[in-house]
Amino acid sequence: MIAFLLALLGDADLDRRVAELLPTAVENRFLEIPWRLDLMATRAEAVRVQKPIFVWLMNGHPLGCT
Amino acid sequence: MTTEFVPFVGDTHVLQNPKNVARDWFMAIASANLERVTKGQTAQGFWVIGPDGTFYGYNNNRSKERVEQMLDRALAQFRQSPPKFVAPTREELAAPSATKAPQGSSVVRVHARVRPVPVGCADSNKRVSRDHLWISAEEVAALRGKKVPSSLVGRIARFHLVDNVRGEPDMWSAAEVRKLEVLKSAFVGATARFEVAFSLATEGNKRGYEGRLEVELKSDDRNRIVRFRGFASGTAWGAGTYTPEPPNGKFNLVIAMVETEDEVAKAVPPQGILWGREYWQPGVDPIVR
Repeated sequence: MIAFLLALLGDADLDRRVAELLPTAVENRFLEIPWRLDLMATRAEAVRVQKPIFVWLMNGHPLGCT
Repeated sequence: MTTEFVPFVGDTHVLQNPKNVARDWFMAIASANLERVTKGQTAQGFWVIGPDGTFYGYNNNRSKERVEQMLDRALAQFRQSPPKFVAPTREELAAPSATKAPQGSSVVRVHARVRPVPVGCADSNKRVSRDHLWISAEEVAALRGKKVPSSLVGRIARFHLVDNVRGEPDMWSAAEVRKLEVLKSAFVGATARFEVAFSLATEGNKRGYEGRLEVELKSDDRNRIVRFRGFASGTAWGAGTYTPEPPNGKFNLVIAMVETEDEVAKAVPPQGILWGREYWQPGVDPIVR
């Protein structure tokens, strides 16, 4: 219990274990694409720039459930 | 993709099922061009469409070559037969589509991995998962009052201690939470720390996950989380409905949780929000020692 309380001062080991699991730069590469998240706003932008819309749809949001 | 197209990413659960303006607009296009959608099946994949709803291409194959071929064909067709560049109405632009996090709530990013990945199992087990955990201001207030809220522990157990490494997971029902026990908790100033033992399994034990969760968090006086470190580690087994090919037998599943405030986190709700009120009130009462 004392170790548990001391950890309130900052648990470096917990930080390390969490950091080791976070996505790597390679795993986050697809986030470099400037994804739009609002379809109606994307339509408005496509009109403005006169380009087609590329839509990536998944069962579960690719930026939130993959 | 970034120079010739306007890239949009979304969830079929938002664009196929609930009634909203974006769904109505998209489903008119999807139903007219992908027969399986008219039978209630998924529209997931890659689409190229004009801002007026003109269809230019679709592909649900993720190989780089197939996607590039589809994009090239669609772009050529777009140039040959451009759409009408009619902007959406003010009402369409103002209409909400995805569920937004409640005012004052905090968002935590959640990532799961199989670690170590057993030799010989499917490559899909090498992936990292992504989801968001929503925490209400009331729950943070409870923590500041030196109490671990049951709703938060229950929500994490049912909707975030899941094996979503290979895709969309099955969430745990309240009945599948076999054990949920807050073993330790401590509070100093704005910092809280707690440790939870959990055992989650389907009837007949075909799929399960049991282990320990450690959480350390710090909040501000507006009941917002400013720092969150969560780490779950334990033994998992079995495949979900849409997550085939897990490692054989039992394997180690580890889950990390860290605070976030970026735009994606604010705009993309947790997968568990599809369970509506159950996400906020998960209906399981952890034992608190």
